[in-house]
Formats: sequence, C-alpha cells, structure tokens
Amino acid sequence: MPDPALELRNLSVRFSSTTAVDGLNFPVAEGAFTALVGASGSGKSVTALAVCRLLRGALVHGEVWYRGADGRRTDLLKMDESGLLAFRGKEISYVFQDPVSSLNPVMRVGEQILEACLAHSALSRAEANRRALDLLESLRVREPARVCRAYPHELSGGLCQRAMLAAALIARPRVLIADEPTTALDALSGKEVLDLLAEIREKEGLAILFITHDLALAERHADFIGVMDAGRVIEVLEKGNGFAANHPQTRRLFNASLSKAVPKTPIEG
Amino acid sequence: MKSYGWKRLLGLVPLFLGITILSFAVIHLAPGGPSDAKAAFNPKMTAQARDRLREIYGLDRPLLVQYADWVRRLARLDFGRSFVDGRDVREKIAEAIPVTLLINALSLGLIFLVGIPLGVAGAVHEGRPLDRVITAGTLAAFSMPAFWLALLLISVFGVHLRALPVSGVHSLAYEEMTWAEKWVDVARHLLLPVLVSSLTGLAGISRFARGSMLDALRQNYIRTARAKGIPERRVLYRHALGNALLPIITLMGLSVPGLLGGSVIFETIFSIPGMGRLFFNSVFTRDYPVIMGVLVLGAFLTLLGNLLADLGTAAADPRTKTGLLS
Amino acid sequence: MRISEGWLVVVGLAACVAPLILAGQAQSMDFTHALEAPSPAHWFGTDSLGRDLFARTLCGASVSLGVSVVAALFSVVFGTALGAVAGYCGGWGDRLLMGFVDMMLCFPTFFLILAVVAVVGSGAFVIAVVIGVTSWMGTARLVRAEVLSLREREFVLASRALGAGGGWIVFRHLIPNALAPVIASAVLGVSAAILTEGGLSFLGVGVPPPMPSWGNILMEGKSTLGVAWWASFFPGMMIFLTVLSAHAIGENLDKRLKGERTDA
Repeated sequence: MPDPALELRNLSVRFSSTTAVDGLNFPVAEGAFTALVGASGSGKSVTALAVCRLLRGALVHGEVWYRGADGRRTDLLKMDESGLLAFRGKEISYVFQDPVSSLNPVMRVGEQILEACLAHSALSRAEANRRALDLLESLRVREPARVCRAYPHELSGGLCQRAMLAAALIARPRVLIADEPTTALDALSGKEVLDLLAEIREKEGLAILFITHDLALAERHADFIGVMDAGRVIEVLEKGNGFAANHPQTRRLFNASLSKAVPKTPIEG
Repeated sequence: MKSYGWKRLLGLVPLFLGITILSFAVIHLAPGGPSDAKAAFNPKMTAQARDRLREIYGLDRPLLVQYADWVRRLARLDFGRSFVDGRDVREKIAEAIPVTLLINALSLGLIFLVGIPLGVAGAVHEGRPLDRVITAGTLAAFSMPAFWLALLLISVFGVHLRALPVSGVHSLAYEEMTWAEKWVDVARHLLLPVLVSSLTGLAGISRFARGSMLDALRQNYIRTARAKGIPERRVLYRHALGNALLPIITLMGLSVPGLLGGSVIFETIFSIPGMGRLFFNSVFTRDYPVIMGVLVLGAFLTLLGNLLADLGTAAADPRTKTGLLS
Repeated sequence: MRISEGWLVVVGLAACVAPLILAGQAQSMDFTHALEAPSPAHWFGTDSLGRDLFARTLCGASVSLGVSVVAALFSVVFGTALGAVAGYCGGWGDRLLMGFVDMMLCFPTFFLILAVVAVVGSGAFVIAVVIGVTSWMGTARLVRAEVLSLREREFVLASRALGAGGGWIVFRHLIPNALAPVIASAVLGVSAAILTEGGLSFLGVGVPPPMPSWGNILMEGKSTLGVAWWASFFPGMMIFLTVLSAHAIGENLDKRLKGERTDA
C-alpha cells in the first residue's frame, strides 16, 4: 500500500446519546481509489464528515493525520479554526449524496463552482471562470457556459452532481471525499458519475475516498475497500488479492448487494 | 415574471369582490339594516335623517340591487358623503391617509432594518447569551400591549422628562419654522408613534427571521459551503441569509394589516390626524360611509402589500421566476 | 416556563375568586381617598373616584380573561370546523372556504372589529364573539393542513374501507388527531384576544364601564397619567405579564410538537 494521504486513528464520534463511530482505524492511500462500505447506520458518512470536522454538535476523539504534498503531517482534529478554513476545499474536498439539496437554490451554479477557487487561490475571477468551464468540459458537460448561468433547479440531478464535482475539484485538492455521490441519481447517471470519479483520479492523481453501501459498486473501481460495521472498520479488502473477504459481515454485505453477488454462496430459502 | 404578475393580479379579482361583499354585509348586520342601527345608538337621529339614510343607501330596494349600486360607486371611488359634516368621504380619507402611510412606511423600514438583523444575530449565536437576550427581549416586546407602551412612553418622555412632544404631527409654531426646523419638529413628533407602531411587528419579524435563518443553516448546501473552506461570513450572509430572506419578504407583506389596525390605537393616543383616528371617530359617531370607505381601503392596502411582497419574493427567488415563465 | 404557568394559574384563580369577594370593593367610591399612591391599605393605589385599584384589577382579570377565553373558544371551534371540512372535502368546497379565509385575512382585524362594534354595539359578550369571529383563520389553515396530511393515512383509509361515513371520519379520526397543534394555537389565541380586548376597552369601545376590565381601567387611568402613574401601570402590567406567559407556554407547546414531528 502506498503512503496514506489520510490516516484515521482510533476515531470516535459521539452524539448526545449515541456512539456513531467507535475507535475506527483506516488509511486512505495516496492517489488511490479507496472505498468505505457499510450498511446504513454503520457510521460511514459520519466518519467522512468527521475528517474535516463538518459535524455539528458531535464529540470527536482520536486522530486524523493528513500528509501534505511536502510530506508534512498534521492532525486535523487539533487544527485551529482558521487553519481548517484554509484546509477545507483546498486540500480535502467533498461531494455529497443529494446534489440538488447540496447546492444553494438561490445562487447560480457557476458562482458556487468558483467559490472554493476564489477562496483558496490567487486566480482572478476571469481565470477561475476559465478553469471552471474547462473542468466542466472534462466532466463531459455539454454546455458548460449554460450550466454555469443556471440555477440548480434548472439542471438534472446528474448535471448537478457534475457541478458539485467541479466545485470540489476546482481548487485542485489532494483528497476527494465522495459521500454516496451516486445514491440519489438514477442508475445510469450514477454509473457515469462513478466512472468520472475514477477517470479524474487517473488524470489528477488525487486520492479518492468513496463512501457507499453498495459493495459491488465499490468493487468496480476501488483499489482498497474498508468494510464498516457498528462504527468500526472490520476488514480492509484489496484489489491485489481479488477482494477476498473473510469476515462474515462482509460476506453478508456482498450477498445483499443488488448489482451482483460476488462470492457465489447460494441464498437459502 | 410578467405572466406570474398577471396571474397574481387576476387572482385578486374574486378576493376583491369578496372584500366588498363582506364590508357590505357588516353594515347590514344590524337587525333592520344600517338605518335602524344608527337610530338605536344615536338618539338624536331624527325620522327625517333616517329617511335620508334610506334614500342614500336605497334601503327599500332588494339587497342585491343595493350592493350592485354600491360597488358601481365604489369603482369610481365614490364613497358617498359623511353623515357627520356632509363632506365627501373621498376627501376626508385623502386628507388622513398620507400621515398614516408615512408612519406605517417608517415602521416597516424600522422593522426591516432592526428586526431582521436582530433575528439573524440570534440565529447565528444560537444558544449563546446574545441569542437568549434577543429571544427574551423580542418575546417581551411581542407581548407588550401597544397602548400601554404608548402611555408609559408619554408618561416618561412627555410628562416627566418633557423631552418629546406627545400629540399631533407638528408644533403650533410650525408655519414660522425654517425648512430644517420643520424636519426636526416632525421627526420629534413622529418618534414615539413610529416606535409604538413598529414594536410588535419588529419583535414578530425578528422571531420569524431567527427561525428562518436557523432553518436555512440546517440545510445541506450550508454543509457544502463549509466544506469548501470559504469564510464563515460568506456562509452565513451569502448562503444562509440569501435563502432565509425569501419567506421574510412574504411575511413583511402580511404585516400590513396589523400595522394598519394598530394605527387606530397609536393615532388615537398621540392625536395624529390619520386614517386610524378618522376610522375610530367614525365608529364613535356611526358615520357609516366613512367606516365603509376606510374598511374597503384598508383591505385594498393589505392586498397591495401582499401583492408587492409576493412579487418581491418571486423576483428574488430564481425558482418561481423560471417556473412561471415557461 | 414554570413561572409562566404559575402566573397563569394565579391570575386564573384570581379571576375566579375575585368577583365573589372583591366585587363590592371594586365599585365602592370614596372621594376622600381619591388618587392615593400604592400603600398597605391600597396595594395598587386608588383611582380618581377613590376606588381600590387592586380590587378593580383583580375583578378586571375575570372580565378580561373571560372575554379572551370565550373569544379563543369561538375562534378555535369555528376555525377547526371550517378547516376540517375544507381539508376533508377538498375540491370546490375547499377552494371556496380557503378563499373566504384569504378574504378575511385582507381586513386589518382591528378595523373589522371596530366596524362590527359600530353596527351591533359593544358589551363583554359581543366583544368576545367579535374577536372570535375575526381571528379563526389561522386555526382553520392549520387544521386544514393537518387534515390534508392525515386524510390519506392508513387508519383513515381503513375506517373508510369499513364503511364509515364522512362525518364520522372527520369527527372521530381527523379532528382528534389534529388537536395537538390546535391547542397550542388556542393558547396563543387567548393571549392575542387579551391584547385585542385591552385595546378595544382602552379605546372605549370594548367592555363598557363600570364593569372593570384591564383595558378600561387603563383607559380611566390615562386621564390621570401625569399625577397617578399607578392607575395605568398596574392594569397594563397585568396584561403584559399574562400575555407574556401565554406566549411562552404556547410557543413551548408548539416547539415540543415540532420536536416530536422531527423525531418521528
């Protein structure tokens, strides 16, 4: 495994009465496609949000080590507010599940794509605009200029998700966390978005942490798959050895997958 | 945008008809119709005057005919003549309305400029001391009887401190003043009335703005904005406030009837010769043509307020714009 | 929260008991003791006719609260009935009733009340009815929205499948289930009615003197504002504190209801 760009150590997240993540350890390899898979309620989304401290009203313990381009390591959970602000969107960025509600309904899409770029780089507005249009084009958006002028409700879910991707990628982050980016889309545009993610990783060399409940979907592009259950990573599967699964819960997840059941154990009943 | 505006205007027609029917019905509530009511409450009402009233309203004719006739005159803004001094009701209202509109406009301005920032500040500092102070303060202001507050203010600023005038809209020596002095004089006279008339609305809007802002801050797009690492100020005031303001604009329109109704109270207390006091005096003297005129006009102004607020919201919200254009 | 409930209980008790004990004292004039400041003998002082303001204010509580509760009751019954029918029937009936609601909302309520009072005259009961009749629109909208969302739920469908009639469904299933938010709005309705009654009586078109209500005690106190602050301070304070308590309770109920909703 290459050096981890992101390493979660003994991460715990508690809400007032429940523990969502309970002593989780997980590395996200530099430049690789890593998936975090688990049933709903296993704590995978909470884990993703805890990385950049985007959870409100939660107690987060443990360490989240980020390794910068220069090899320096920082614990994100100990970073101060202003450091974090400079970090989010610049080093690690996010794409969320429901693109329509994740975009501000009263702001033009283009404006929302530019935001991170204007906040994190010295680019002028015109240059940032150029970069946004190029980015949208590379995400196979047919009329990038029209998409930029549009409001979210005027675009399809697939287009919105590509706009979200563009907004996440425009400041050239080193890690992209995609939290169930395909779940709210129909099967076809979901597959397209997923393939785009893989393609971007190849081209830009950034690390992707892909969160999903669908093991078979994760298998499609992932180099590593962390399987989560009850707030912990119970097993890490590697592409190198064919995602061989040992843990019974992992086998259950494989069996439950609708797209294709990989280890062909007969289903009883 | 245009098509939305037209649709909205067309929707007002049945509403306006309903308003006239209801206003008409109110006056005919009294057993035996308005002429009997007047006789019952005003012993000085002579048989002759009653006949005149019957004639004016055509009270012998069927109700429907009376109504049609009244609406026809209403369309020409002909409200008839006052029972009290025989003057054209239109004229009386025209004299009274500017000062009422001025005070209401100033109040709306104050509500907007103070109420919304207070609510937003509360939401931004949710649960912290500042929020608690604002929440408690606005709850108290919202529960404050306007007439009592007016009395307290008069007692403090007018009677004890003698710092502010408490009656009318300008001093006796107004005519001899210079242009600047006139401004100051009117401003001093209007300070307390505007304060009293805006307080309830201000507290209401502020509480609503707090809720609306908190609602916006819970949305997914706020998390997206935070994940981009843009400054918190931009998250709050561009992303959240931009959305939170939309329902507030609508509510501003809905606060018009409350303000107009309140003008009865503060205009009476502060002796301001506006529409509220005109209405109140007409109620006391049972001057039905004036009552009807002001009632319909008040409803009309409310409709206008709602319409402006709706159009404002539609103009500010990109979702309605395209949805109704296509 | 505790304080506001406690205050309402105290005022409510005073409203029930005061007319039995203090009615005579509230009306007895004594010109040798006119306009006396608050003292152990007269806790709230006396008015220009030498009447004890403490007794008058407590007796006023029963009038003001009585009028407000009756008004809120009218408003809730009326609003609930219309809202339930509109929500359950849908279609033209719904559109007509909601049009009526929209129309009522166009009138500045205070104007409408004054106009009605001008025609039918004033009096405690009239005021209560008029306030009720001009303030039911919010409840109607609320109940309609509740009924619309409840209408298609399983238990109503099941009842209909069992052959239950429209009236049975509305009164046995829909209204009881929509009741919780209605209670919150009724509490807020009482506080709004206290303010309206106070305003009307203050203007001299509400509860007619000598029957004391908080509003008309205030009105009488207005004429002696410069010399006797207590004559207008205490009745106003009663209105303020009572309305404040009702608001606090109503809002808390509302919040709890919404909390339950989001939990579910």
